[in-house]
Amino acid sequence: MASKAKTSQLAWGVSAVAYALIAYWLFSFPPSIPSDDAYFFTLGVERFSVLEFRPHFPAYPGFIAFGKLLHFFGLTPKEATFYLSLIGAISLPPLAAWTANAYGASKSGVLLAFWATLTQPFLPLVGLSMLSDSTGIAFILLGLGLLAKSYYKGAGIIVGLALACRPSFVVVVAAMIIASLFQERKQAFPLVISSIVTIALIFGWVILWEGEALFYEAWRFTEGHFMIWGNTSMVAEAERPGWVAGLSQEKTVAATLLALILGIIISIFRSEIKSPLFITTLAAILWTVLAQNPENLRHFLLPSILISLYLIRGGRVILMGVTLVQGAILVSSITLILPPSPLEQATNVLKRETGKLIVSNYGVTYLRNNLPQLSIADSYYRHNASSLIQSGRHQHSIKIFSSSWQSPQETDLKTFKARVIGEKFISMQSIK
Amino acid sequence: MRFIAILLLTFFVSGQAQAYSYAAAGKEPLIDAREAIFKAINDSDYGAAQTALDTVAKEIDYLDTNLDKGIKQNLSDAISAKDAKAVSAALHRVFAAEISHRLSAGAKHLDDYQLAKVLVVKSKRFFDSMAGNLSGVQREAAEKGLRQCLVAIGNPGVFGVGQKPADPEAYQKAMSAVLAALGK
Repeated sequence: MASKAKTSQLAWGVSAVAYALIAYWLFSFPPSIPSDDAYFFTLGVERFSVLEFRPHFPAYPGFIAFGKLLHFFGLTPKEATFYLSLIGAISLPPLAAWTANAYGASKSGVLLAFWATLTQPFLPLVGLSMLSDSTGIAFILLGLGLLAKSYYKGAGIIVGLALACRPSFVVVVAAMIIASLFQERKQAFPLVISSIVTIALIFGWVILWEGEALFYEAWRFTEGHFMIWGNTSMVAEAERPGWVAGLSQEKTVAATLLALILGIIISIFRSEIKSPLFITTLAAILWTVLAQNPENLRHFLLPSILISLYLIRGGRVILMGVTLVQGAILVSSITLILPPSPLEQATNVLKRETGKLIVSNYGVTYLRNNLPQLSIADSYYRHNASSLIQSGRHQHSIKIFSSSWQSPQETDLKTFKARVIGEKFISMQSIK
Repeated sequence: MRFIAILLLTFFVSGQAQAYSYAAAGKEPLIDAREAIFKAINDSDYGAAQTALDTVAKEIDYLDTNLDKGIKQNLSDAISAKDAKAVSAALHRVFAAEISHRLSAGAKHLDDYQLAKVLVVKSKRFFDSMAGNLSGVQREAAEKGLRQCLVAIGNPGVFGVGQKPADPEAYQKAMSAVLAALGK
């Protein structure tokens, strides 16, 4: 008995050291903006106005409010957004362990949940992204745990906060609430009312602040994301990257994801499939696959963590194997060089250039606002960009290219590598 | 069955992706036609350029009648002459007129904060789609003007908190700065 307790203590001691090392590594990166969306968040922390892309729709009011809180305590908008996203990411392993405990996992199961989350290959990516995924996932885990502990009112408030941070989790949260209602109908009232009140208070404030103009932006965004530029499964154009292309550069990570999905298929036959955890997990998988952009691999973090939690009961052997492989992938990806984001590195290099045309498929707003001496064309309007290059108005043109699923070319002028697994590299190509 | 097919397609369909841009405009006839015209002139297919122009005949007519007389003829002539540079310049003129149209409408509706804000924001979408054709200096000046337009429309605040009245004079000045940067 005593030796069992000692082994457990030792295991948690090792876990705490590993956790501290990974947290130290991530917190050592300098705050730097990796994408336009992150840039929009920093603008939102400075001054909130959705129509002006401070931040972009759907407003992320919870995330901005937390960011403003950190800003109030003296951090710059950039630091506030960076550390908020990082704190959210680093809170996920202990939160996953707590949620597993709430679902009645054994001591070893709780430890496994901790490690399965800590070794998630896209955890560093989400941490450094300066986006709201990590805070949204943190609240989802907290909400699931509270549901398992039958704190329905608290769970309602927490899932409301999850949506306030990450509104695109709406389908996942809806599935979570509906599944809970089927399990415990008597608790429908406190759960539904507390979540609706939280959501109504937060988004009601946004509507009051922005006015009916918000609905114009909502339509533009929703139509754009699903039908025009979002690369979702609803985009009619056949030319869009699927998830296989999205994961083609991360083959080992893709293998672990596949193993997790296989694990959940096998475990369906052994576990309770009507549980809120299972329904939420299923919703997260389908929502990610169908409605998220395969260019952004960080979207896999939520379904991967939820599958891991589910497998603790029904597929522990698979989860242990996956966690070991994930751990090896993560450790091999750690470097002691801690550069700024590829976007900031590219911007710093371009600050020395004058009179050139830059054609970029990435970070156009950030580049335009930080490089006032250069003409910058958005390659989203690719025919306009080609005509500009052909016009010969500029002696020299540079193409900025970013992708998570294509490789840099040998002919590139410069390549700014991804800092962590799943991040998009940026390359500069000379156009004559 | 159909659902499974969609799911599989979602995984496997792939190709050359365009940029992903939250900042891109939604479906906007003038912006779409502009792209189609640039595609046509890049391919030296001036028939297709005329066809693309025809899709926005109504919008161009309106700008020609109300904002910039001769703009329609200018664009048609450039396409007929198969002059890529002239087409590009004529498109610039069309977009400057469209931005002027939205900003002038904003000036007339400074008493309606919501409408004025949508008009300024919408003019920014047109601006963003053409900003690649501007020098850095022009772009910076126009963006600064657009930011000042937004400040000048004021803010009704929430229940009076953060309330700021509109400043028509500052708005006019900011609008003129935007149009000057666009060469109008």
